[in-house]
Amino acid sequence: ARAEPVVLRAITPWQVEYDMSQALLMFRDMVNERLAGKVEVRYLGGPEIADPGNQFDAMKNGVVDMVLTAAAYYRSEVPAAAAVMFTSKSPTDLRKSGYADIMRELHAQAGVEYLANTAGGKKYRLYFKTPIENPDFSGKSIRVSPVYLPLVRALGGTPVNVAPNELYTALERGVVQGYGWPETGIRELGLQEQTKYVLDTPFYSLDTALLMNKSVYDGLPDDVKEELQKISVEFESKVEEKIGALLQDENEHLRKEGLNFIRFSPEDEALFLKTAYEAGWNDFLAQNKTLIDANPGLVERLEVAGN
Amino acid sequence: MNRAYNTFLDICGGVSAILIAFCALAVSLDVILRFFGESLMWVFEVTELLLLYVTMLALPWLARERGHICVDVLVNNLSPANAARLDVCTNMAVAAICLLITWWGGLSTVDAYSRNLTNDGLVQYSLWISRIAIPFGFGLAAIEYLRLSAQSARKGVSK
Amino acid sequence: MSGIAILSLIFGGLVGLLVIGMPIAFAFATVTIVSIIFLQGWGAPLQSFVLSIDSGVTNFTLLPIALFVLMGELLWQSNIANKALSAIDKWFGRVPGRLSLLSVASGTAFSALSGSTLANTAMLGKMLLPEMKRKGYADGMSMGPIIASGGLAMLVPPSTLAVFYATIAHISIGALLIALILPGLLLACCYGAFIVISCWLNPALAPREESSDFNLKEALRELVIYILPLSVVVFSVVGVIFMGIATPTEAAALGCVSSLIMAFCYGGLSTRKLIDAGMGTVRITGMMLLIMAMAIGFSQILAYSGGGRELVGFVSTLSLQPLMLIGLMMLVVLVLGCFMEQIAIMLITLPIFVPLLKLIDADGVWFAVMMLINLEMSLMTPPFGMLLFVMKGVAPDGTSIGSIYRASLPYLAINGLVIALILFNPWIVTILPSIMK
Ligand code: NA
Ligand code: NA
Repeated sequence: ARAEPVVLRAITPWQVEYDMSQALLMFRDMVNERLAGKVEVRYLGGPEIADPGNQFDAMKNGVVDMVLTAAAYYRSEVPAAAAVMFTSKSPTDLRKSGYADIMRELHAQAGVEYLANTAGGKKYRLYFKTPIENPDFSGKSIRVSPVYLPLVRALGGTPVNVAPNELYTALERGVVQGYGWPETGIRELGLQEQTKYVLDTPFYSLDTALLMNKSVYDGLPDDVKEELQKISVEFESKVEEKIGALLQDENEHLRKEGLNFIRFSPEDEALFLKTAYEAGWNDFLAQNKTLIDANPGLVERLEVAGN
Repeated sequence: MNRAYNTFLDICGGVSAILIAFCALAVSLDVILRFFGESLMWVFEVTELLLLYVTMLALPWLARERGHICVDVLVNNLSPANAARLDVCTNMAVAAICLLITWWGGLSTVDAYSRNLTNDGLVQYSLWISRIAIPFGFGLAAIEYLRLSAQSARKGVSK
Repeated sequence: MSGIAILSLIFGGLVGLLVIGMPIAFAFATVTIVSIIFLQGWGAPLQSFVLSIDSGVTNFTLLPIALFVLMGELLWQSNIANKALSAIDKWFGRVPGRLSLLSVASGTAFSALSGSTLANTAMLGKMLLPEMKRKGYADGMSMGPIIASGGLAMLVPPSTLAVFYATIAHISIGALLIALILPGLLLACCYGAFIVISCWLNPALAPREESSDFNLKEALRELVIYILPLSVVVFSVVGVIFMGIATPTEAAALGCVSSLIMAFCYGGLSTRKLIDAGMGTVRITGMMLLIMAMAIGFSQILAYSGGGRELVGFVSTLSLQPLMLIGLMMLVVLVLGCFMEQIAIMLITLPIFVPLLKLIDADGVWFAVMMLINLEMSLMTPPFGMLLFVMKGVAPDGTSIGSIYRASLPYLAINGLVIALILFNPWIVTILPSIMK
């Protein structure tokens, strides 16, 4: 009789329709087809299984085996994972340049197998309810997460902390006039109803990744591990194709809903991007001071492989 | 000893009340300052942290006050002796659950401390500061539920 | 073992522990821990459970629970609440069950300020229940209307739960919020009608005090003096929300501060009473937050077991008439609602319900309103309705949970009737959004 396949339980912090949850389903189907009989990836669900901020722990503690999540949700465990935000290459190019290997090392230290970068070329941007003409945010209250905090501060805005599920009401009532969000996903919270302007100057790269419990990974037979790595590389480029089409689609949708795509003057746009990168990167360096001091050359490796 | 311990629990409850009042003041201050273009970024994170402390400080005090509500339909229809017996059992079970949570909460606190973890919010603090609240609250609650069992046992014997 | 079998075992275990009188928070914890040990193993998964307690309470949107309770305590301890009540009372004069009606009216009014059913119920209970008990109101006329109208907070906008629903189900948030106004008011009116009719048929339910002669000048004077502080407090909550100064959660904090200021101005707050208000707040807040924290872990292990998903999937395989299908969906939500947390129910059911609704071409907003009323019912269904526990927390010592269960039953039935009414008269839901367009 044949042995039962190893079941890998997987979750994401987002509801099932979100593109990143769909990416996990794509990975599941690839593995279940290519490693049929040996490994079975089983999707358990989203935030109803574990709080987004606890999903990384849930994987480490063996509640699940695999999680497709964002570095922002496990900043406490692997703060260096946020480095990927400050890369300019696409995930497939990062794989070629050896950046993925650095990420794998950093995650291995935390007891996690880094399988794939699932950003697919997606970036972040700012959304506004009131018009904005130049990168001077003074007098504007902007809802931020740690991703946008250094930028909004540097541009003179008032950063505000609002729970995601209260953001709609906060915008509706005018408590905040803008917010930062990835290029997709505002429709998941209905925010397009309370947004008028999209600042069409995307910045940073998304920090999403597919991770696996390291001891579960290490326990797999070598041929399975090898195939899993191969699938992960293919998965990365497949996600990239998907996201490219999705971004087009998203912008069309938002335009149809009456949102205006705006841009600053070329000089202002350059200033905006420069500020974004400098503020973000300096914040990253400060956050990871201990790690960087202990690993001379790490910063240079990240900068060279990432850009 | 007993009295000192009871006073200690009263202090826990009192601190819990003060923390709630502090949250009200801090959030109000943040709103007023934001009106003038300033924002106290720490208010959100600190309020969330204090909600945990409010709950965990109130936990053992409420246990003593028998303020953790329960469904009393069956208990009210038992003879006093049987009710006391049942009370001993449920309180022992609750104490066991509290000890279990204390143990695992303690481990996660030590883990956060030894790895120097910080939270992942906008304003950062060491994670052990929040995690230690759980073994603290549940540890005291375990003691409290053991005391309640002993009380009920004495009551059962005297009936 | 199938998911549905696990679901029944977990449910049975919980009921068993509750019946033997284990405190509710710990009954949740016990069942969750035992399930974790069986389904995920002994050891590290329990550490994840502890983390779920932490993240369950460190949640800014829970703050109004503490703050609205504190506000109610301050208004009550300083006598502002009961003086305002008796001032209003004079005007109601001969209306049967007027305090019950007052609780429905103020519950509906407060539901427009806050999205938190727990906070709304606790505050109403704190402010109104002592007076009702003193006057000898029956449970069904005192605790019942408070629970029922407290629940309106999640229906009448602002409602984070409705926003959450709309985003998962991909319907317009704005349309849903507007659509909820009429059903919310309809529910309030039905509660009111029920109270008036019951008290008219049986005056003993809400004893009438020998009212002295109505003196217009005196009544007007009292109205101005005693309603003023309450109005300042209400304005400090509503005003800042509508002027865009604060989110509803933050507004609760301003409400507390203004209650405190009013209490000092009116001189009704001694140090003793201030301490009583504080400890009363801790008593209810601590109890509620602990249950919330434990209920989240419980919900998560249920979701992990896959039982809910299986139940929903089973229903979707039956090929049914549209109305039957919708009725069955409502039944599934009602069953899950007896022991699961609302957001988890939405996350589990909606991904399956939404495509089914598309299939039978049903209006998404119409279904959303019915489902939200259903979810509101789940807060007051015995044995685990959170609002029932809140009521037990605020009620005087010696109030049995059984009497609270009985008090809530008629109002549950009214909710059921209103759902049926909407099921057969979709215009109740669709009329407002179509006018506003
Ligand atoms: Na509301
Ligand atoms: Na319920």
